[in-house]
Amino acid sequence: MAGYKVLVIDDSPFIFKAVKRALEPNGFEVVDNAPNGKIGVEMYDKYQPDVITLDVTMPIMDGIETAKALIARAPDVKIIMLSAMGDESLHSQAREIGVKQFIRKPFKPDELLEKVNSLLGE
Amino acid sequence: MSEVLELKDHLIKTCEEFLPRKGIRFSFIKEKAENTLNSGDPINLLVGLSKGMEGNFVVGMSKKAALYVICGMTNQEEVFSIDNIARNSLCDFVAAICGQTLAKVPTKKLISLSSPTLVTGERICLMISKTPARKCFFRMNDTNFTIAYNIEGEL
Amino acid sequence: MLREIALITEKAFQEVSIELLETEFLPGKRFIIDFPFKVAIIIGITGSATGRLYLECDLETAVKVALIMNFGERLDEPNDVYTYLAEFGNMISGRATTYMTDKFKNKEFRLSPPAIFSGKGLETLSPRIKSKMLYFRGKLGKFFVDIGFEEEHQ
Repeated sequence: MAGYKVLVIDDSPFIFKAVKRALEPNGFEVVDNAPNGKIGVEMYDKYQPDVITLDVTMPIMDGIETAKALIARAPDVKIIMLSAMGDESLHSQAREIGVKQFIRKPFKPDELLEKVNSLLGE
Repeated sequence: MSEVLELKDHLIKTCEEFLPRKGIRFSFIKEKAENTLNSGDPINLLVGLSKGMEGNFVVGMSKKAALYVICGMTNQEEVFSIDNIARNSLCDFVAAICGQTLAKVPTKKLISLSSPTLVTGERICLMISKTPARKCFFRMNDTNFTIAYNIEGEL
Repeated sequence: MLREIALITEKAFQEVSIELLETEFLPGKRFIIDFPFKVAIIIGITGSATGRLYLECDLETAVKVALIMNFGERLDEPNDVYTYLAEFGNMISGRATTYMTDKFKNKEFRLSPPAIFSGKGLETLSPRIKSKMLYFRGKLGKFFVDIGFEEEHQ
């Protein structure tokens, strides 16, 4: 999956590093890290990434609101939602707005890679 | 979209309404943005918020200020030590200040406070959010106290 | 309910430690908490029950955890220890809350953002709550975990 661009929208520097370490050795380019959804939407416009990893709990604009804003801009946008909580109501809410993949924190590199490849393969 | 709340005016109003009733004289000194990690007071009272408004609220004080608060909250002339009843009264104090301040924010969102926690020690540092918090400095009788917060909500 | 939540918290702590840090912490007998310089993570709980989750370790253990989370690389700033510990606490509380929601289907649990305190002779107290204390030991050090709720929610 060489050359695909990934944008990380997460207020945790640890997650940004974890995503880079999982995906960059596999040919992905992790273009940037937005610390909240508002900046994330701006960075989406700037980078036009192929995949976005999106945290649920963030200041200013949370993951659900950010996903809505991104999907409104680009209905085909590929989002993996990350959360320390994995309850079904959150997943249902996200699925309803068009998020197709979820991953629970902490995640293994292989796990993230598999989900990103699955999204891109669709 | 939620926004970081500016609570200085509401805090001052709450203190004006609440502290004199407890026999505590106070005055507002200043408010400033704090670094993410900042130094704390010897006695700190933390309340967390979630759901409609999310964040943390910390009242920091010296032992002297704490004794004044305990006197006021328990309706005593003088208090010399901090026992269990005193600790409870300090927790009631932070819950009252936090709750009454946030009740002044024009929002339809529910305010849910967690259980207050009392944290004491020396050379305390605290980090209540990943983004810089705001801290209000007050004078209380002949000592000081602070209120630090980083709270987001939808208005 | 508190006993069940304590077991859930114990499970969440151990799982996240293994998944994130690749290190095992074993629950065990009470130990005397004599850390000279402590780091404490406090996460408020609201919703169907009001309480808080509390995690505590010494600074040396906190640094070891942060270094592992930084993939063995030197921390950019000393304060990053606290950022990483907050993230660690967040994952544990998130995992525990998920299990609590699954277990108690008619209840909702919400978390406040983590607050980190560090200091010499740090002591904490939540007078209104009844809690269960958990003690963990591992090669990185010791952790004390306390989960509790206000009496009306027991």
